[in-house]
Amino acid sequence: MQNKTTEINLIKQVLAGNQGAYAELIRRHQRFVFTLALRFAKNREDAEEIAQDCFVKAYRSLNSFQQTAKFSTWLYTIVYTTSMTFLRKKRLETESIDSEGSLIQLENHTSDFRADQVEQKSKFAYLNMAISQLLPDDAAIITLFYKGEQSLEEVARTMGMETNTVKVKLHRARHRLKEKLEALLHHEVEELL
Amino acid sequence: MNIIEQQVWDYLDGTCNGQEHKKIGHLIETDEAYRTTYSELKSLHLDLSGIELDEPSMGFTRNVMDKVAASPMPGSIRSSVDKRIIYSIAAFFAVALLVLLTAIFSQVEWTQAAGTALPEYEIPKVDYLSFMDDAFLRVFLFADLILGLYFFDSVIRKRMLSNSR
Repeated sequence: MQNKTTEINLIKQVLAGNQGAYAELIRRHQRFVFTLALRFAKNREDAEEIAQDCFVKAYRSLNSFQQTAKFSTWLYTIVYTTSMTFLRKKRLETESIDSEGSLIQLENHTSDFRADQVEQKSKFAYLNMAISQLLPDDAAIITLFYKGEQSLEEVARTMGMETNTVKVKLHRARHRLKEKLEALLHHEVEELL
Repeated sequence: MNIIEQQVWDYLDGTCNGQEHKKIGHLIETDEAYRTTYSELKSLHLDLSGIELDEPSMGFTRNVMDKVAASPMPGSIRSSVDKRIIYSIAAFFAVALLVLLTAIFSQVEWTQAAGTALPEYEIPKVDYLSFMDDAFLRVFLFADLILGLYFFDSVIRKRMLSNSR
């Protein structure tokens, strides 16, 4: 609650003309906004561009933010729509891991992953890799639900969907994630043998 | 995805009602299939909650603030594409068109000569210059000046932003 109050105070300060207060809002949300953008863009440069664009858009329309809702939910809606627009523009490859192309991508990821000495065997690294193999919508739902501290209702509002649709999508996304994780681990075990 | 998995996810998310929660809890305790699924999914559930967020580059906040500094203040007229402005412009053109059409039709001779011969038609003469009085020209030029300054300002801002990088 304290955090929420402070956030509203920061927004009021920005609306009163104190641009510096907006830097604090950016610092608080940049990691999540960047991570969510990364779920769509699949590379850091594009994700950073999307994330920057989102913060600028949010600043410009800050006066339209209804202070009764959570600022994060409002901001994540901007991130979601901006990322979807980005995807449409770039026509990124969003094939499932089951397709041939994705298997090649998976192998490339594995070799990139091997180069990463620090987190090579970490289960979180595998998990991140499996998430990056998901469809952008699936990855976004999982990220919003687990890391965005969003309820199913808030995720639904962010993505412009019905709560029940999001619930079903979340179940399916986790199921696919589990399958991809198993495939990755199976692949790694085969490599070791 | 099987029904057991779905029920266990509902149990873990806390999205089922009290009675269902109790029922699934009991099944997890007594049924081997439920227990195995619960153990697997609980582990994934905890891992997902513990996953780290990615960090943007060091200069991320500064880059955004540079862009923000070049943006209009939130709530200012320039910061939002106000639909009322769009509607006003559309209304202006609609009214202008309507006035012009009214002026034309008011000068048309609607009476038709008897017989099958086409009526003689004289193209109406519209005195456009009557609209272009001194006040109209001043308003027109003032609007042009405002648009020109707005454009000039945006060009200067963009140039300043690209120079600062």
